[in-house]
Amino acid sequence: MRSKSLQDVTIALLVLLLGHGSAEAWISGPADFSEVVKPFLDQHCVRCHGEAKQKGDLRVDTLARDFAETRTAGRWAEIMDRINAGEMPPPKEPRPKADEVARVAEWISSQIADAEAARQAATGEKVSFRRLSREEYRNTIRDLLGITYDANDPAGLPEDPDWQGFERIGSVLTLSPAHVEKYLAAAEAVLDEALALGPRPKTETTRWTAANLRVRGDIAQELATRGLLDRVRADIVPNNGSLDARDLHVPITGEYAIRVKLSGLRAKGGRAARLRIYATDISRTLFEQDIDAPEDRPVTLEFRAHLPAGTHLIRIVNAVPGPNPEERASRPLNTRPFFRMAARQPWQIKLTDDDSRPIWPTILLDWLEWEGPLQASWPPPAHSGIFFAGEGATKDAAYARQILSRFAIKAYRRPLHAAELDRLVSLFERSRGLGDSFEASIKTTLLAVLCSNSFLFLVEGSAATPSPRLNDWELASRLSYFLWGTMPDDRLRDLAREGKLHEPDTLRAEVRRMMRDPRVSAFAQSFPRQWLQLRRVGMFEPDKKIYPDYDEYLEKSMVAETTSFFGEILSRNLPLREFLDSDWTMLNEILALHYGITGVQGETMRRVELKPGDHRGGLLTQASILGLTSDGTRHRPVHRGKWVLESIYGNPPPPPPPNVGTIKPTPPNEPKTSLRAKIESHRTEANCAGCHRKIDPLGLAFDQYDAIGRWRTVEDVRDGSGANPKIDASGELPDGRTFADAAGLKGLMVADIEKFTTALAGKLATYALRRGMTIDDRKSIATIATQAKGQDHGLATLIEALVLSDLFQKR
Amino acid sequence: MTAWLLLLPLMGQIEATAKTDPNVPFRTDLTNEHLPWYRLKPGEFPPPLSEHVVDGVLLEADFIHRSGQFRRMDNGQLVDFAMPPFGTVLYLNAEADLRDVPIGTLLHFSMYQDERGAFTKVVTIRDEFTALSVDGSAYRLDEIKAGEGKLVVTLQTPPGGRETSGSRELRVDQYSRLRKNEKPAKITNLAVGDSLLVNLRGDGRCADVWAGVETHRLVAEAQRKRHNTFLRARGLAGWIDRVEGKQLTVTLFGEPEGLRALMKDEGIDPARWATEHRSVDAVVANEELRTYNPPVDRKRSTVLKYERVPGGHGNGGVRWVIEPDLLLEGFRKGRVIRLFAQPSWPVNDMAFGETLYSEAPDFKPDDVDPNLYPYRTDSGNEHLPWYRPRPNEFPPFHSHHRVSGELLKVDDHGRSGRFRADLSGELVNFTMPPYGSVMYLNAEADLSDVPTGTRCHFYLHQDDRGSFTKAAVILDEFTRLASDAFTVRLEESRLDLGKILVGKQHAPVKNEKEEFVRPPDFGREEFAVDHRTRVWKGDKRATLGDLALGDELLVNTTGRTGTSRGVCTDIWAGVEKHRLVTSQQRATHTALLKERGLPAWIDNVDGKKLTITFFAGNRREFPSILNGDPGGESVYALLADDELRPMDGALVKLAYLDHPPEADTAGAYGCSGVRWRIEASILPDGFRPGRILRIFKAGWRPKTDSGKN
Repeated sequence: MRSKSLQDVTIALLVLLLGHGSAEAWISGPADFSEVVKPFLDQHCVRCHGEAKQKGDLRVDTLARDFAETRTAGRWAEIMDRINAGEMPPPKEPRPKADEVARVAEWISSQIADAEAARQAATGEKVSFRRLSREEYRNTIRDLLGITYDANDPAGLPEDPDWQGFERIGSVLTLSPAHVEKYLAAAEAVLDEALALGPRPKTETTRWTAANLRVRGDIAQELATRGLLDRVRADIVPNNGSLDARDLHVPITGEYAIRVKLSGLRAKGGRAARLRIYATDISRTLFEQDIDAPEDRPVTLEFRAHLPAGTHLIRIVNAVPGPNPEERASRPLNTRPFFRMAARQPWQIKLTDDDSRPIWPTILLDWLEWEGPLQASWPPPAHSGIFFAGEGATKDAAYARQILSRFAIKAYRRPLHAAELDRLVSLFERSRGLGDSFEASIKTTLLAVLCSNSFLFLVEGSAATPSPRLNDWELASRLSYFLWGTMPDDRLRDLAREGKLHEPDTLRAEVRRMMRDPRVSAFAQSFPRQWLQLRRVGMFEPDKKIYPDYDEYLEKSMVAETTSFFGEILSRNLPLREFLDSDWTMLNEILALHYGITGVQGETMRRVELKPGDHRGGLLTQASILGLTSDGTRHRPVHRGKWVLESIYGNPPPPPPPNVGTIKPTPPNEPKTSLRAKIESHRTEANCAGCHRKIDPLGLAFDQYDAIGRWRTVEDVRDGSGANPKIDASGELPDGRTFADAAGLKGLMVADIEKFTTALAGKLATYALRRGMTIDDRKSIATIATQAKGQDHGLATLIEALVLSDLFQKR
Repeated sequence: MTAWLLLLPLMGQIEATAKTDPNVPFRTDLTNEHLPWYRLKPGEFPPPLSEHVVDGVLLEADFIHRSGQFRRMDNGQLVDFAMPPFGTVLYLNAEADLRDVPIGTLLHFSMYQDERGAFTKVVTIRDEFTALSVDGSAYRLDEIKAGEGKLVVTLQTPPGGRETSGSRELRVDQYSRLRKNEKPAKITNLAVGDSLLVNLRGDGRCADVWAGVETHRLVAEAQRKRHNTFLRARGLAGWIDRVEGKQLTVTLFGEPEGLRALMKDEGIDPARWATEHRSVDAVVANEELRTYNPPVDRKRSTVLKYERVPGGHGNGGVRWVIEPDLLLEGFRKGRVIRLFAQPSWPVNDMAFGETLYSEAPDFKPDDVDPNLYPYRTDSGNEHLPWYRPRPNEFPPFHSHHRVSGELLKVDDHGRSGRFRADLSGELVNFTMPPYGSVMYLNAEADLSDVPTGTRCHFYLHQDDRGSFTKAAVILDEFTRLASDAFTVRLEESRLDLGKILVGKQHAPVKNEKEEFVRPPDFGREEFAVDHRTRVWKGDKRATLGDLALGDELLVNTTGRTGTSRGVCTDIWAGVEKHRLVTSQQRATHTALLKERGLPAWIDNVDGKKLTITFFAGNRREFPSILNGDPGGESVYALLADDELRPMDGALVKLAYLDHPPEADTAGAYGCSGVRWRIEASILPDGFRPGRILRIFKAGWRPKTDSGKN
């Protein structure tokens, strides 16, 4: 499912034709109905699908243009597919020009897209409910109770669906019965941890020695009697899979300290060994780090992880690519303890060369220790915060009412109605009546709060007093979830309570404050992931045979480059053109190695200045972008072009027509052919040529980057014979401007920065308002983009302009 | 008498004319006395003339470790030898293994010095048959004196050709093996004019006589084929000259002509295999040419280049560059590997005992790398000091220096004595620390149970003066063999010569089908016997004559000297007999311990509570002596001195508390692995950490009135 061979891949040649040739047109919007579409229909369609005849029961001259009506939209979509595929007009009829077909298809496609966006926006409701995303739920719980909720664990919450990459669109985030159960379980789990209703959990330490992991019981006993047991180490070779796995029993959910003593050896000029501690049943990497420590000078590392109660299968992995050597000398190792590299068994894979230098990145583990659950104080801070009056308080209904009121105001992110509070107190009293303790009854009631709509949804609007504008409480939440991905803090709540938040000066001050707060990292991480669709990175896992150096760590580093690049632009309010081209990027050691850039060490992302010879700069030459637009075996220029139109210009091309042809492999006796040549030969069909002239140049410009984003000048072609073809990355835009390669194209794109600014403003608004942008929003978006222009298109300025805009404060 | 002896006149000439040979930079047997001998170097086959040739009679062969012992013909000294990986045996004019050579045969050993300068490294072993054959010589039988057991012969080169020596007599007796026309023969079957090749014994008599040129050809051919089969099953051995990238350059061991013949027989043209890129399976091996687990270890390798490389003892002359599909740790410069021609040669594990790796339950892996220990051991870490015993600490395993010798005297209190070290003859007065233990007849014993005059193995630590006098363990030869499930099997009695010949064998082990099978012999040797040798067979004392071929024996001997392997003091015949004497010894010692109390030392004292650790020579058997914890019953203790003798003072009654986990008692020599926590109502003064107690369970009968412990 994750990788496809070249032969099997269907090239989604998007059969659209060239637009007209003005400098604006190549990324401009669709044509007008009366100027373009109607004349086309009149000339080519009406004779058979008009007043006189309605072949196939279709009449186009009177076909409605209400694309919000799905039946109508369906008919138009079919028309688009038929003319795109060349089936209509029929062969005996005169052929329309390719660019005419393209413009009609584009008009239909844009109408369908607008209608869809309008459906996502759903701005007509009196009250809108927009569910918190999984990430927002986790952050909100953290800020409300101080508890880490492992929302991404299998027992956590379901993954959120996305719309055009955005995972927070209200109409998409539905609530299923499965969600209800999960929310209940989640609320129980976090309250169990937050409230101290039992005795203080005992902190215990468990140590797994290398001998525990690797040595059979009787051999261990033998080693113990020889005094050698504590000298046993575990030699963890690359890609060791399930070799070092052990069950960890976690008695109580909580925070655990994990310590590990180990060495990490690396081959000369090669990668460091990489320790990954992975909990299989919860599909979670607890810790991951490159290890550089000589065999005789091991290091001790300590880290924290939040672990749910239960028995977890823990794998200790050397997460670097390479052969799995022990698998190939399959033999139980538990009778042959390892002590040191020079004393390995001769039948094991060679880990050092004849001069005793490591050949593979290798981990030598001494022990791993688990300590927890850790409790800095008892009862936990959340408990003291909720039972605010302390142990000496009178535990009566009045105290309960105070507790519930304080808690629910925070949880609901708004003032409580008296009736709501009464209902909560009533629930508390029912619980008391059943014999539960004061604390247990409070807990039951808090459970209800955490499972209520007002907590799980961002609620905007009022059925009683409908208003197109947000009130201050709603504005506080919109702002907070936009920039921090979590509930408003005390200051935002105070300003909302005082009714001041919407005041422009206040709002501006708050945006600036929020962008200085560390919590803005939630936005700096999430927005680029969603905007640029980074979750597609690695979706088609690169073929291990073709790309043996590709692994999870490299993949994470690729994504981290893009998100930290975004973060850097945000924090320094750098101009938006840096997204298109820059003389710097964010790298760590492995990614620098991947790019062939020297002098970067360690795994932390840091700003690295680029030289022209590095062939990098801006988003478009980042490995994440180049990878997500490729498949597991090769780069995909058409996908790359489509991605640029979609993500950089917010102007996706029409979808490909059904049943497009495939690119055939070159026969073995013919010379190797570049993918570009194959695509160009495929594009000779008139119907394909139009759209592809618009899409393909934007992708082919990046042909000098392979499927995992490495620079190259020759394409590695596996079918055919002879030398691999040299890459030609030049191209011509529909407006006639030409470029020699990716750098040239980037220069042209920087010249069109306003287009990008408008598109980015639209993406930010979609993220912030949790809905698609409609035709009605275009003017507001354009205004926001214009405001940013005055400040040299700074990203923070653009965000501030968005927040201060009418659009942001409207429902 | 031998081919070397034949050369003596020539040597005389060389000695007379060329005391120095400027062509070689080392001492040889004939020249350059002023220069040091050539020393074996890693990765280098010793050059011609560098060997020191010694004639000797093979007395013991260890097939597994390619080592043994012979007696020098010139001075009667015993020499322990070992063969380096390229060491070659030539027997019956063909390559051979030590397994093929009968004990008692006179052989020519090409020797080199070991690290200590002693000539113990044997690069080539040749028999007389081979030496004569290589010279193209044979004896012509001139006269048969059947009644006197004499054959009058003249050496000819070639057979039937020029006489190269005068007439001489060869002697045969009832132990000489004669073959003629492919059959065993008697002296009377020989005929004047027969062409003879012989191997001799140490007493100058013939071990073997082969009559007839055709017989000579046939036995040589049979030996060659036997060795081909041997190598086909084990792979051609060689070492790695270098590793470049994924390619290994390998030079094969062997005698060049023998290797060529073998390859021809097996259809291997080494040059063609390289040009055709044929395959071999490369298998890692150790210096003893033993493999680990070839069916799993084997790495399919392509032969890429061939080079003929003449020169050096043990160099087979064939060098290949091969490329395995995966490099293993053992594929390193200087390491030994074995190659199996593919696809025809089967790749199987070596037999139990010889293989270095097995999942079989009886298999004991070779010891861990001795260099892991933080002190010097008998097999490594020469740069570190020896372990020195510390108060209140059991010495760790492998910390000892092993010395074998004959027990001469046991002191009255049974915790010290004297022995005479083998070979050196040094008299050593030893003492046993409190935890020191004795194993006799494969059971724990008191030192006084061991008859003086018995050869024992002493595991020694240094005393305050640095002398090895502290005996942590003393065990007899019976125990050394039996504890590893070995016996020796009687193959031949030559009682009138005062010797028996035996094969060393292991008890049957389970094979992969879970059936018990006896592994092939591990070695072969000769024991001396005389009128003092006591024989135990069945339910009574027996005589040497009662021993039958095939009997499974365990023996104790007297000590060894530079010229004597000792004489058997006792021979126990039959597995049942072995078990019986072991259980009797165990019962005797258990009774003694219950009478004197189990020795233990006090680990620590906490108020009136003591933690003690019991001593034991055999950790596995200790629980059966202890017979469980006392539960609710009281125990009794007597304070004892470092020689385990009870000191003045009354028996102290203590309550048993509990038994801390065994895992916490990881220790070594003398440690039982069992600890108790006990509590006294009033703790006597002397009960302090490090002091020795003798512990009695309820019902045991203390005997405290003896001066001896």
